[in-house]
Amino acid sequence: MTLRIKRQIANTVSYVLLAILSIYCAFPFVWMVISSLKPRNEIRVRTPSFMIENPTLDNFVRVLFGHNFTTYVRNSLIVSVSACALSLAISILAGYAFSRYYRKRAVKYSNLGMLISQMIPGVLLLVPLYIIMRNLQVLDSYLSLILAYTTFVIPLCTFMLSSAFDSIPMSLEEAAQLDGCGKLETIWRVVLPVMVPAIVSVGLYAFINAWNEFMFGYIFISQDEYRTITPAIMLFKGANSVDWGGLMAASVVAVLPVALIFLFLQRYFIAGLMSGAVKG
Amino acid sequence: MSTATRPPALEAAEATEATEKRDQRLIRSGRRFPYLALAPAWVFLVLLIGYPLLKVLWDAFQHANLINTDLAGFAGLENFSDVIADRHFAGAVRNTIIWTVASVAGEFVIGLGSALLLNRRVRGQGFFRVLTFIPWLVPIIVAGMTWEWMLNPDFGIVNSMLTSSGIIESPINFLGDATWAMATVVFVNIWRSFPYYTISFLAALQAIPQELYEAAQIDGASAFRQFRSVTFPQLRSPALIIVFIHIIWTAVNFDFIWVMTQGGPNYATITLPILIYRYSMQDFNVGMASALSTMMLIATSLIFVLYYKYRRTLSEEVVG
Amino acid sequence: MKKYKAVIATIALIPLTLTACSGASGGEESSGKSGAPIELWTAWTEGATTQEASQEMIAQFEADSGQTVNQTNFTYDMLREKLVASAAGGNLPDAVWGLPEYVGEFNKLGILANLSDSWDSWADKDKVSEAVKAAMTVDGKIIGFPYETTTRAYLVHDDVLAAGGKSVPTTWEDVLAIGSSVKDATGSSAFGVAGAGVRAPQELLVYLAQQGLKIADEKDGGFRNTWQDDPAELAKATAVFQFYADLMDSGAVNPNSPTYGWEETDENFVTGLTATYVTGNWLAERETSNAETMGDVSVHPIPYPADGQPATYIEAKPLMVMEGTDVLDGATQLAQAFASEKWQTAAFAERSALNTVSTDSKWSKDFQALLESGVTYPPITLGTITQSMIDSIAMVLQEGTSPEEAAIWLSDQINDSLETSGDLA
Repeated sequence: MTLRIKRQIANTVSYVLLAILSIYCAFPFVWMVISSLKPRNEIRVRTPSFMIENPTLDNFVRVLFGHNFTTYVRNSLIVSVSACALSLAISILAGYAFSRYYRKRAVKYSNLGMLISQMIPGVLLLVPLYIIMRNLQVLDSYLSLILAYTTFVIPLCTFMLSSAFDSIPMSLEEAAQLDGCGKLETIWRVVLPVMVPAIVSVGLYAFINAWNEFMFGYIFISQDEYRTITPAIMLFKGANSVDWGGLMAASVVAVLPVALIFLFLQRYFIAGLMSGAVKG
Repeated sequence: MSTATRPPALEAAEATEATEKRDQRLIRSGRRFPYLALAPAWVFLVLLIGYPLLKVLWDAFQHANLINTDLAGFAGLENFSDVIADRHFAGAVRNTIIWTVASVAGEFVIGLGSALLLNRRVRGQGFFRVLTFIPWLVPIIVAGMTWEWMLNPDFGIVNSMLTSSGIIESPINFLGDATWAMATVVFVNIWRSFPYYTISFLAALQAIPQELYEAAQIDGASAFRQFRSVTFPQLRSPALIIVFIHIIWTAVNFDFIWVMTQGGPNYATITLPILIYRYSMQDFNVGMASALSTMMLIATSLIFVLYYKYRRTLSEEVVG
Repeated sequence: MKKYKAVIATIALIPLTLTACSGASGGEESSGKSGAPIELWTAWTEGATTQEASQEMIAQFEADSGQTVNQTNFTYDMLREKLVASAAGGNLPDAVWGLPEYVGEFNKLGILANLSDSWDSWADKDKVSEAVKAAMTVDGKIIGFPYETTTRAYLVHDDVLAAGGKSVPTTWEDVLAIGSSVKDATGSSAFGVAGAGVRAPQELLVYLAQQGLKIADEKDGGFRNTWQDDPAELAKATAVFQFYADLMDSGAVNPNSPTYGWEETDENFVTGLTATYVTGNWLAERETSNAETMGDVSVHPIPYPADGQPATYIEAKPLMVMEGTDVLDGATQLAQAFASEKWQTAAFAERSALNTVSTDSKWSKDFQALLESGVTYPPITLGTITQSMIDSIAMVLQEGTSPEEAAIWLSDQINDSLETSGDLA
């Protein structure tokens, strides 16, 4: 077979697989969007269907304007972006140390310490963290959430970044140091630009972790003005009834901004940015 | 001070001294650097995780009941034996292992596969990437409630579609039938977790220089051979990390199963973290909850030892 | 190296010092002046009448009394976890919407203020039934004002039942006699039970009460389950579990019932999938959203065994005031205001404990008529006990255990829990 036909087959197979993958991933979300556009009497019915008889934007209007969701989105953005930036800063430094100084005892203990920190179930962190935040007097403020979320993601971010550092040859750094750059400068100017996809992926992870977290969101925050979006979504499940329309609409509102951010950022997962720097 | 010519030997000596001083400074700052680099991370972890960790280890050996303070006192290993004697302990251990292994395996396969697919230059690449990313974006409670609704035997779209197309005769109670519950929960967990593998693998795939592929092609290697000798070795390092960290997270994860089944039906999907939640929030028995948590900590530490051995090998290859 | 060890050691000491001052600083923000705001935690459904009316009433309260009320909304589950964490951290709110299931354990945590004096001087206290007052009492002290009170009644889809050729059952035997005839005729199950979630123990409580049984009797300042002390009681407890088993065997209930929570059972009734069901009057609003299936609903007392007595579950929710609050008077006033006739009529017209507050609809009158025979949980720590109740139902319905074994097992579990929580007589 010629190369051309081989490529076409490969492409077709790819498209089919991608289509299956997309359906698998998007199906529940499609169901969420459709449900959010249904009026009350069509949502939870005996025979569910994808068709909407009387589509309505009522649920969205209610969620955005009746329920203060614009405040919640704002709060989530503030907390998530801050947690993301803070954890990136800390993890880049720690990840570098893990990669380049792996022989040192300090690194080994840090490795162990970070892994152990992941092993504590959230439920047992509830009361101790609450007490700590209380004593730091940051309850009912963005800071309590930012501090907690940063701490939760530092280990994984560090490990992932250290693995990314692993794939950068030392020759790059040595060259910069010969030119008189200090360590920090080397990292900032020479190494990081070459690691952009890894940084984007780790940053995204930290962001989304903070965005989706809900338990500490409602434990630390007791004032509506600081509430974040995911704990707020839980309110649609009432004591005796579930407001499915509102729940679905609120979830769509929670997912869309992040999806858009990703649509913008996924460009950074392209080889073109990289191939120049690593050569020779 | 007169600027009489200075003997060249003295100048040379001073110059060497200056270089040595600079080198020493560089070396010293190099020596200090790892500690400074690790310091911020340590501050956060010690401050916020240190106390809870110590508390858990301490409480494991105490009688600690939030409701009944009369019971306080040293408990030795009693909490541990109480936990093991719990009639749900064995089932929870078994379920935790199945839940962890099946989830991570599924996530790895789908994550790697999707990363390879999304790495190819096809039309609409960005669009497909966003779609693949969506499961991870949906908040856990929403994902749980939506899947629960879709899988409901009476109102769910999945059963509705399966029965109307004739694939099955009567609706399957996915989350309410003990034979299906665990598999269903694992399936939904894979759905929501695999995108992280995809992203990480995608990032790692981008780091593979194009020349390596070209060289392999010139040597006449097939696509599969290329994958094995060029792609996979480069993915070892991130793969190792993701898999090990996810093993720990999945084992410790509580909220996902709780949202969907609360450990039911009739304990069919109960895992160790759910047991911990029950001990601490339902029974208010912090002692037993801490003991079980300590046991999990020891088990996962052993996994860490394995991870560290592999990690060292990889690092040695790069840094030397 | 030594320098760094010192640094690390210092960092390690910080969390210890931070946590050392945990209990000491409770409520240090204000000094008990009337200017301090009252922190109120609610759990209403957003966008419903209760919320709107309550917010108006609260605004009025602020104007009349000169105090500020800081109200935030949560779900009951969130509330419970937050209260446990706040109790440990010494940072409790001032007034909280509670559930009857929380009374025992919160009392044990020592966070409930004693409102007995305020109750005695309450203008509307005579309009509240003894059963509701008992639900707010623990250890002889009153710990809350009833802000929302509902009973359970037997709801029937008249058309579906008629299509199956049956009349409304009044006894357990009647229900079992229907068997699968309604299902065969219409495709809908005759009756409904919840086997999981918070609804299951509430239903079990009613069926036990209809046999004259309690899950724990009060004696000598403590509580104890007495089923195994008296063969007659054990036989009745067995009869209750036998009823569950018979419901499944006779085909009167959906085979998936063992795993249904309130979400499923309520939904099944609303959509007509179940012909009759014991539930509360919050389904009134579904008459508009599910008009085709909810048009034929009638309200009846819950069927009870022929040799038993009528009973229903009273969910009397207490508005609790937290112990150690610095605005005790204000918070108590607020709690009492919620239970007052004016607020109840405005925000809880169909769900009030006051016998002067009701509407003309069947959802209000017919439910309130059942208050007399209402039972509620004893004021004990319930977490493990309700779980054991759910497990005992599962043993009978899913594991095939004999009803008598299940009754004995549950009795043992209840007494074990009472012992652990220090409530055992």
